[in-house]
Amino acid sequence: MAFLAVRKVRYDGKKYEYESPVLGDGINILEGENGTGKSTFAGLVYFGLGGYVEPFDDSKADLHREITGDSGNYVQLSVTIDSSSYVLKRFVGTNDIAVSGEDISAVMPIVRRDSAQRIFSDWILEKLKIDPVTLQFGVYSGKLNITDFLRLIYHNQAPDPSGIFKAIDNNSFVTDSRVFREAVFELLVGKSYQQYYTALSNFRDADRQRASFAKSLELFKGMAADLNSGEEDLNLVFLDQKVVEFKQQQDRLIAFRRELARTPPRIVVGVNLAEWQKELLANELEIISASRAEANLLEEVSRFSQLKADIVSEATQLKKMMFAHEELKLFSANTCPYCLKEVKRFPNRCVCGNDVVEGEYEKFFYDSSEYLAILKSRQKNVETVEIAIASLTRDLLSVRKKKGALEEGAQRLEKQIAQAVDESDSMVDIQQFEAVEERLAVLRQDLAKLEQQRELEVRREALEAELRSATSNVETLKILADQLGTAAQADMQAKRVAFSSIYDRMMRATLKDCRSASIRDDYMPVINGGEYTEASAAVPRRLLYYAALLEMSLTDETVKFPRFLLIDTPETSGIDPTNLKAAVSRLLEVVETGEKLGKRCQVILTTGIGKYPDGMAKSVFRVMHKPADRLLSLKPEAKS
Amino acid sequence: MTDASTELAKKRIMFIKSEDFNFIAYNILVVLDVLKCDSSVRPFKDHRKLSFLVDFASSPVLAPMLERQLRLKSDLSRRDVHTLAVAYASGASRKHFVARIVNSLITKGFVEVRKGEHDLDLDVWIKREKVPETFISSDLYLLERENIKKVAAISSHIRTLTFPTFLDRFFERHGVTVWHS
Repeated sequence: MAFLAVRKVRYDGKKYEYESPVLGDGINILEGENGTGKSTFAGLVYFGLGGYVEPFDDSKADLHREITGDSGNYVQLSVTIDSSSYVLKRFVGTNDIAVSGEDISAVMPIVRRDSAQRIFSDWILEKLKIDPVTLQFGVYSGKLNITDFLRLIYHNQAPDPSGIFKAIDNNSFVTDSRVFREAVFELLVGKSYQQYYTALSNFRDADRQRASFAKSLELFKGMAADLNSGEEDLNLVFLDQKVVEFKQQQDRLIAFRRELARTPPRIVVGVNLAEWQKELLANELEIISASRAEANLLEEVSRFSQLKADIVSEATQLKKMMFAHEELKLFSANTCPYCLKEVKRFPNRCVCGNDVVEGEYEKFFYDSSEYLAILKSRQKNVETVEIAIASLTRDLLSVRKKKGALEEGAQRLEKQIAQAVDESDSMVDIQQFEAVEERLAVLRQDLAKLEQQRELEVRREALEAELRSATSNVETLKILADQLGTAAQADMQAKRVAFSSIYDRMMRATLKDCRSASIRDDYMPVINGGEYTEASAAVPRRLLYYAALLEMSLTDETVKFPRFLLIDTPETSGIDPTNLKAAVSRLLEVVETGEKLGKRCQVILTTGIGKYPDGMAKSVFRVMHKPADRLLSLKPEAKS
Repeated sequence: MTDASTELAKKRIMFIKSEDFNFIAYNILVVLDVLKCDSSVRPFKDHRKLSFLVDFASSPVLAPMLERQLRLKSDLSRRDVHTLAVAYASGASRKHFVARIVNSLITKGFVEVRKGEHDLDLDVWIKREKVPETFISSDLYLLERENIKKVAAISSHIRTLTFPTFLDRFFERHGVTVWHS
C-alpha cells in the first residue's frame, strides 16, 4: 500500500565522503568491480534505515576501515514515503536516528528499552501502514521491528543463498523462529492479518488481565475468609439490612441512656448538708483550741518536771555540801569573809569588833544544821511541785478527753457529709446506666465487625464484577480473533496461490529446467515439487522470491509490502551469468508491470561490471573501477 | 528578830547554790583528783578554767550533752546551746570566788600552787595526803567524778589547755558568745 523510496544516500566524515545522485523510481543500478564499495552502499542504506551492519561496528574483527577509522561520520538518507519526504540521519556507532520531515522532527532510538517507548521502527512502520504487532513465542513476547520486515526487502549478499530471508542482525532464536518469519511474510502480504494479529494480541492482553483478576480474587477470598472467620456468610443486601438493624438498636440505646441521665436528683429526707458543714467547721475550731490548751499544759508539765529535777539535784548537792563541810571544815561562822581565814571572834562581837546579839549574828557561811534546814525546805518544794504536776496532768487528761470526743464528732460528720455527697452524685441509676453502656459497647463492636465484613464484601463484588467483565471481554476478543483468524487464513490461502502463480511464472521464465515453483504453507519455495536441488538455481530462487513480493505489492492493493527492494550484488561464485541476467530482467518486468498499472516502485541494485541485461544500462547511476574509483572518496583536506 | 524560823528563812533566801563556798570547794577538789593533778610535776594549768569546770562536774546534763554531741558529730540544739550559755555565765560570775577558795584550800594545805605562765594565772595541784581519806573515797561524788572523766574524754588535754583554747573548745565553737578575754 505505502511506497518507500530512497532518493539520496549521503555519507560524511572527517576523512571520507559520498553523495549519491538523486535516485528515481524504478531500477537504480550501482555498477562496480569487486572491492570498490557496492556492499558499502547497500550497507549505508540499511544502516540509515536502522539496521545493524557488522563491518561498521568497530568492536568486530571484520570491519570497514574507511568508516570505522573515520570520525564524526554519519549516514543521511533522503527518503520518500508515498508523497512525503523525510531525511533520516544516523551517526556511525550510535543507535539513534534523527528524522526530519514536514510532519516530524525528532531523534528516535532504534533499540526498545521498554514496551511503552516509541522508537524509530514504530514511526516508520506507522508511515508504511504496517502495525508493529506483538508476537508471542513461549514466554517471550515482542513487537515486530522494521529490521524484521527488511529481511524480505533487503536482499543482501548472502554466503548461502539457499535461504530466503536475510539473516537477522543479532542472533536471536526467537526472532528468527518460524513463527516470526511467517508473521513477517503474512504481515507484508496479507490483508487482514494485521487486524488478526492485533485482535490476537488484544485477546492475549485481555486473557492475561482476566488471569490476574482471577488470581487477585482468589487471594482476596483467602484473606477475607481469614478476617471473617466465624461470621455468617452474607451477601451485600443482607449485610446492609443487618447494619441498619444494628444502627437502629444503637440509636434506641443511646436515647434510653440520655433519658436515664436526665432523671432529676432524688430528695433525701434528713440530709442537711449546709448545716452539717457548719457544724463540722465549729467542731474543727474547737479541736484547734483544745490542741492549743493541750500543748500549753504539756509545756507546763515539762517545765514543772524540770523544776522538780533541778530541786532534787540541788537537794543532792546540798547533801554533798554538808558532807564537804563536815569533812573539810574549810569554812565556819568564824571564817573571815574577806581573807577566808579563821577569826578569833569574841562572843557577842562581830569580826569587825562591833556588838551583836549572837542569835542575830549574820554568818557568811552555813553550818550543817543550816544546810539541813535548806535541804528540808527543798524537799518540801519538791512535794509542792509534785502536787502542781499532778494537777496539771489531770487538766491535761481532761483536755485530751474533750479533744478526743471532738475529733470523733468531726469524723462522724465528715463521713456523713461524704456519704450524702456520694449519694447525690449517684442519683442516676448506676446499675441500669452501666448495663446500657455495656450493651452499647458490644453493639459498637458488632457494628465495626459488620462494617468490615461489608467492606470486604463490596470489594469482593467489585473484583468479581471486574473478573466477569474481563472474562466476557476475553470471550468477545477470542471470537473476533477466531473470526479474523479464519478470514486471514482464507485471505492467505488466496495470497499464497497468487504469490505461487507469480513466482512460478518468473522461475519458469528464468530457469530452463524449472517445471513448477510454488510456496508451501510455511511460505518457503518448492521447486519442481521439492526434487530440484541444482546449486545454480539458488540465486534466482531467492531473488525472484523478492521480485514476486514486489509484483504482489504492485498488483494487489491489500498487500503492505512497501514496493521497495534493496539488492546487493546477487551474483555469487558459480552462478551461470545467463541465469543471473534472466533473473535480473524479471525485476525489470515487474517495474514495467507497475508502470502499466500506474504504480510506482523502486529497486536499488548493486552489481558487478556488466552483470545485468543490456536493456538496463540506462538505469546505472554510477560505475566504479579499481583502484582509484571507489564509493567513498577521501576528502581533499584529509589527503595532506 | 530572834525567831529561829525567821533566821532560817533569811539564810534560805541568801543561799545561792552555785556560789556556795563548800559547793565550789568540793567540786575543785574532785576535778584535781580525777585529773590526777597531784604534784608540781603534773599541775592543773591556769586555775581560771576551774571556775567553769565546777558546772561541768556538778551538772547532771552538761558533760553528757557534750559527750553525746561529740559521739554523734551533730550540732547542739538551741536548747542545749542555751544550757551551755547559762553554764558559761555561771562560771564567769564565780571566778573571784574560785581564787579565794583556792586560797582557803592552800591555807588548809589541801592544794599547792605556783605562778603560771602568765601574770594572772596559777598552776594548782592537790595534796592528796592532806585531804581527808573519807572525802576522797566517798561515794557521794561519783556523779562529779564521772562527769569529769567525760570532760577529759572530750578534751584529752584539759589539764594543760590554755584558758582561751578552753573557752573556745567548750563554749565558743558551740555558738556561745564569750565576753571573757
